[in-house]
Amino acid sequence: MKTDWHELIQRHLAEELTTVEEMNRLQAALKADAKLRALFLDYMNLDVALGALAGAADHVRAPQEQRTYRWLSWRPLAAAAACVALLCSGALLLSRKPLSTRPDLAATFASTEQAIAHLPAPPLAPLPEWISPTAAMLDPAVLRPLKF
Amino acid sequence: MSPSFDDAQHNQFLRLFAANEAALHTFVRSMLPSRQEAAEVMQDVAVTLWQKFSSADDFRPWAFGVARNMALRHLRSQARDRHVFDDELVNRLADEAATMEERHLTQREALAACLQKLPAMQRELALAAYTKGTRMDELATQRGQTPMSLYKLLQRIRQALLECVRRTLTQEERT
Repeated sequence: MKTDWHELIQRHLAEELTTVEEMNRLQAALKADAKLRALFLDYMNLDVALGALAGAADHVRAPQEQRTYRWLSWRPLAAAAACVALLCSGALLLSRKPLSTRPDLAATFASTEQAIAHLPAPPLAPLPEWISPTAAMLDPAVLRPLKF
Repeated sequence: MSPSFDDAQHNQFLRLFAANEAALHTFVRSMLPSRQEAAEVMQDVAVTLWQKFSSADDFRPWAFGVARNMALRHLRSQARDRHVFDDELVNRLADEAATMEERHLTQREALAACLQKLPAMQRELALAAYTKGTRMDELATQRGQTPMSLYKLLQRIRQALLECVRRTLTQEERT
């Protein structure tokens, strides 16, 4: 039976999934075949790289969620506060001044709405550069400037 | 304020270590039977490299030598089980891993793009399976699959990713 080396190497990657006979077959084939050794090492590299990418994705996910939450919460609040302030000042003006001296409320609302629409968006957090997981373990302070 | 000698040395170490860390990790991983063991040995390697950094002339070969010794020591300290290759093969793999740094760097750089080519469900599964603390049996239960069918699916995803990064390498070699 022809051996599927991709499958056998990956079962070796998952440790418990190879039998003694399969391990011996893999070992003998690796010793004899340089191309198979290159395939094996490529899989090892992929294994390490996927672990690093998954770790980096984990680092990035939390701040992104936090950023989304902040964005959703502060802008409506700011707009609501501005509207309440406008309504209060409008009500005060209406109650104190005669009709002829009322300010142009429509124009005031329009310009305020425009101003709200142009409120600057919060700066986008830059994606973190490559974060060395082991360097982080060595000295977490080094990573502080990279916070996003 | 200029940095003290220790700060400068520390920064230099971190620069060199960060530049070589991924290659060292692949090198150690190729010698050890599990990702977890490789991660543990890499932590010890990092500490040892820092402690002995002042005695290093040429960082890269020195670091690979330290990593090899520590991985071998780890193998010897473990009860040798059926998942460990013999010393001859471990050493040969280590030698060859050290010469494949450029190739592996290109593959690592291509991996993010290759992941994006996967269907979203497969991409998420690949990253979930590699996230620290993930248990495959729990992941399988969450997805309503048996662990074995999950392993099979992951095998297909890994193979697709490997073929993609290898294709990228071939294309880069042609240009």
